[in-house]
Formats: sequence, C-alpha cells, structure tokens
Amino acid sequence: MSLSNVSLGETIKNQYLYKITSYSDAVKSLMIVQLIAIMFTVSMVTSIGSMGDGLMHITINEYTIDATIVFMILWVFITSILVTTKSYQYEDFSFVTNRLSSQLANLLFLLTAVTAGVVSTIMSSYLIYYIVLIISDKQLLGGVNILASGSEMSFTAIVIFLYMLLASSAGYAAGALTQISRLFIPLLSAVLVMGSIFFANSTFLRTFYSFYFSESSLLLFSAKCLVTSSILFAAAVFIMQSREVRS
Amino acid sequence: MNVIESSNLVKSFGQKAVLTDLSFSIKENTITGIIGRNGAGKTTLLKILAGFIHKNSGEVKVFGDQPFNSLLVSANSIYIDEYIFYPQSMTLEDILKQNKRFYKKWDDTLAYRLFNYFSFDPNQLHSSLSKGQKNTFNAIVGLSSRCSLTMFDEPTTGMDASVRKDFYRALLKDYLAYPRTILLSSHHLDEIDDLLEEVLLIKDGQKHLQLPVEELKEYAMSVQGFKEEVEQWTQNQQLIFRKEVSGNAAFAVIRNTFTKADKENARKLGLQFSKVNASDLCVYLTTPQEGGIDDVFK
Amino acid sequence: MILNTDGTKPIYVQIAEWLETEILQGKFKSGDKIYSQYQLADLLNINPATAAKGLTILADEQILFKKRGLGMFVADSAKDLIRHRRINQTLKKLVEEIVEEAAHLGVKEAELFSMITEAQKNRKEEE
Repeated sequence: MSLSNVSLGETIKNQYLYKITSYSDAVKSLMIVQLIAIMFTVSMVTSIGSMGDGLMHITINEYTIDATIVFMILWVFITSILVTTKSYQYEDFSFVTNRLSSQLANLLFLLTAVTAGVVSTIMSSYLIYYIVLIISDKQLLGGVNILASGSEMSFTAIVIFLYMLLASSAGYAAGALTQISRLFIPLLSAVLVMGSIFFANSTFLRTFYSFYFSESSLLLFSAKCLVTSSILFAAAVFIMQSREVRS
Repeated sequence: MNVIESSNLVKSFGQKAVLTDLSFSIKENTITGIIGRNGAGKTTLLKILAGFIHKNSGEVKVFGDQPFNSLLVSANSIYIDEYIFYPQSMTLEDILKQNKRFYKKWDDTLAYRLFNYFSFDPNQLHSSLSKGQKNTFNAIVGLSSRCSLTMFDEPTTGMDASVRKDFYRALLKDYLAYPRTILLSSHHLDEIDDLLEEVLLIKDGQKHLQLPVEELKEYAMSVQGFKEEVEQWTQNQQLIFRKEVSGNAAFAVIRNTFTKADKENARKLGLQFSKVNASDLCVYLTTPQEGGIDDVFK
Repeated sequence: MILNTDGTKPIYVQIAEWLETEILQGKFKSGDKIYSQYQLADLLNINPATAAKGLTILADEQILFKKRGLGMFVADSAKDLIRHRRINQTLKKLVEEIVEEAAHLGVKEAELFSMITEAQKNRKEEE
C-alpha cells in the first residue's frame, strides 16, 4: 500500500485555494456592501460651509469614507462569524484536512478578505469622487489629488486594515465560542448591550476605548491591534481544535 | 497488514451509547461489508475512522495513526454518504476540480468518464440534485479519489436498480485494477454479498461476527416442522432464531454445526432443512429473540 | 457462465465445477494457463477472494498447478483426474439415488436398465 504523504503547509495551501475559489458568497456580499456604502456616502453629504458674494458661490461639501469603513468592519465581522459555522467547517472535511489546517486556511482567507476590504474601500473613495463629479451640476475645484496624498492614503489603508483585522478576529472568536454552545449567542449579545448601557461612563470602558481608539502612535496602535487579534485568533483555533464534525 | 485496528472502542452521544465495545481489524485491500440494523453504530464507526468525531475510550488506528486530526488519514481516506457537504455555490465540475486538487491519487479520466456515463451536467449545482443523483455523484467522487481507505455509507440510497448495478460493477472493476481497502455499509447485503470478501456484523455497538462472506453463507441452516419436534430437535443445537409459523408449526435457524446423526434424527422427526442466505441470516442474527414483529399482532 | 446465486451451492464450488467442465470439454488443455482470480472476478462479477477459493479447490485436487508469479496452469493429468472423480463421486452418488428411488417405487432392475437405455437413445437422437 502506498500512502500519499501530505504536509501541513501543502494542506493549508490547498484549503486556502479551495476557499478562495468557492466562498463566492463573501465576494458577492463585499460588492453589495460596497455599493450600499457608496450610495450612502454620496447621499449623506455634509455641508461644511458655503459662501458667496453674488458673483461667485462656493459650497464646501465633505464626503467621507467613514460610512464605508463602518460597513466594511461589519462585513468582515459577519463574514468571520460565518466561516466558523457548521456548514463551512463540514465542507472543509469533505476534502483533505485536519482541524489545524482548516483553521489556518480560514485565517489566510480572512486576511485576504480584510485586504480586499481595504483595497475596495480606498478605491471607493475615488469612485465617490467621480460620481460626485458626474452628478454635480456645479464645477468642482481640484482633482483627485484633493482626496489625499499617497502617504496619507497608505496611513488610512493601514488603519482600516487594523480595524478590520480586529473585527475579524473578534467575529471569529465569537463564532468559535458559539460553536461550543449556542448559549454564547445570547450571552455575548447581552454582555455587549448591557455592558454598553451600564458601563457607558465607567472608567473600564473608557480605558478600553482609549486603549484602542485614541492611540496617536501608529506603531503602538498596530502593535495593540496585532497582539489582540492574534490572541483572539489563537483562542478560536484552540477552541476549534477538538470540535467534532458531522456528529 | 491491517489498515484498521480497533479495540474496545466506545462512543456515546450524551446519554446514548452507540458503540459499546467494538474490537475488530480490517485487512489491507479487502472489500468489507459493514452490516447492522439502523442505529447499530455503522455510521458512527465510519465517522470515527474518517477522523470526523472523537472516540470516548478504547483504541482505534487507521494506517497506524489515530484518525482524529490526522492528516495522513484524511489524505488517504474518503467517507462518502448522502449528506456530504459542499458549498452551495459549487457546480459539479467545481467539485471534481477541487477533489483533484486534494487527492493525490485522483483519477480525472475515470471521474469524467463516469460523470458522462451517468449524464451529469457540469454546470449543475450539487444542491439541486435529487437524492439518487446526489448519491451517484458522490459515489463517482469516492471511486475517483482512489483513496487507500474508501468508505461508502449506504451509497445506493435512492439510486434506481440499473444505476445500483452499474455502481457496484464500477466499484468491482476499479478495485480489481487498483486494489484498495473498501468499507461498504448497506442494508441490502443481498445486493452486495458477491462483491464482498468479508462481512462485519455490528449489533448493539459491538462486533457480532466478522467472517468471509462464503463462510457466512454456510454459517447456518433453517429447519421447519411441527412445533414440538422443532423444539425437541433444536434443544441440543446452537439456536440463532426461532418463531412460530402458524398454530402448531415452527421455524428455527441454527448454526451449521450439527452432525450427520443429528440430521438423520431430524429427518425422522419430519423436519425440513433449507439454506439460509447471508442477508436473511444477518436479519435473524440481529433480531431480538423476544418480540418479533409477529408479537405486535398477538 | 451464469452463477446461481440462490445460495444452494457456494459460488466457489460453482466456479470449480465450471472450470472442470471447461477442461473436460477441451477448452483448456494440459499446460494451458487458466483464468486468474481477477479475470474470474471480472467475468463473474464477484470478489476476487471468492474466485481464488474456486481455484484453490482445483489446485488442492492437483487439477491445476501454480507457477510462481505466472499464475495457474492445467495439470497434465487434469482431464483424467476430473473424469475419475466425477465417475467415482458424482455419477456414483446419482446412481445410488436412482437405485434408492427405484427401490422405493418398486421398479425392477430390468425395468430400470431399459429406462437408462431409453434415455441414452433419446440423447443420441437429439445429437
């Protein structure tokens, strides 16, 4: 009997390639969410100021991709929960895998999803600019460079990436917990809702908030995000390591 | 060499004990039928062997490895049943392509020949197949993967008679060309007994017996006659099954271990012998001695 | 060959008997290579282990002999052996049954002989 030898790395690679080609729902939902976010952004314009002297009238409108970022964070959070669900787990085991390779391929897939989210968000800012250009009857001042400089753009991209990574790891860990017991669904929701109501002004929440969202150093912020998401992902992988499939 | 070795294997789901104490081994390159009533633990056993679920206690080795989380087992075995999960969006062709990526011994030519023979549409979604079609397609995957351990759990459910025949024929032909260890769980032993080398009969989560099919076919005989005579004669025999046929007649199945003198004796008592085929025998062996279906109507 | 799968006779016995008949009829001659267990399995749609059992019966009776790595071959005396055994076992048993049945029915010896002669005549006419 000649047995086929496979390495963990090779299995992860195959699982990853399989996920990339077959998780079309994730891609479809990404495009839909982006479209909604763009329409949202274009319609929810905030006017910062307006001035005129009779001859000339200048209106300053601000279009931000904040909405897109929020949408993307939600999208990656939900996608991350989804890949921990039973049917996704079971599908992996229709092919060659063990739990570790299935989990690590999931992480690679989610990293790809986050990257796709960042790229599409950045691209959407250009798209929004051209949409405004087309639908506006006014003359626009400035070109695309009005958006941001290259370095500013990459700074933005890194921050979006880190936020999405954080959301992804949180979603993945939450999903893994609910795989242990369905009870974690109401439990986690309750903790979130009650926590934000009762501890809205607590120092704990403020410390928590400022720890992640008021960090002024990009390097420190990156470190915090990477460490946190690594811990969450590692916990999830550990939890899933002994889960039965198709039981 | 043994591909599978299991000793004192125990598995329960919550309070429900499924495998209570299962010890057996499976030789390399054999086709074994896993036979038993519903709930006897056939599927549970196969899922443990596939590394899908844990055992509670005991030992189980596949290719010398513990199957749970073993890449070696996963890469060299495949478990095929009706409920195999594939992503909703995948077409049949996608599924074949993915399998090709994963299984090193995958035979694309065989896969597509069978695929065309059974007139599948490459663009059809797996989720849109009927039960019989699904099982046929899954069986194609199982055969084409050429895994050293190939497990089919009730593979022919929903297939029509001619497709069943074709599947068994394809299984045999490919096995002859590429010998491998095949486990086949089925309710229809009569359909597959010619194909099998051995039968593993599971009853109440334990091995009831494991025999070459040809021995199983000669394992028992049945006698029929007047109730008293049947009772008298079977007293000194290894009784497997007994039932009253009507009023004063009885039917009994006994081990084929009686002597010529016993047989002569039976003749004198007016008992009639007949052969018991393997499929019926498995039913008799696994029927609870007290309370057959007839007792419901008493 | 069509296998009788109703369980009255084990499949490997049927295979052995079929191969014997093939040898008797001269389809396989002394020194010829006979079907392998895999060819038989394919031909009869059965497990090769069952087919091997049929071949083993014939090998045990020295009707076939094994050449390592080459397969099974028909022995020189195969035809005689088969004929001899069939006369001494199968035919003898049948005759005993006929005699037994004739005794039961009170058929006289001369009557029985004439019945056999009759049957032989019919057979020749059919040919």
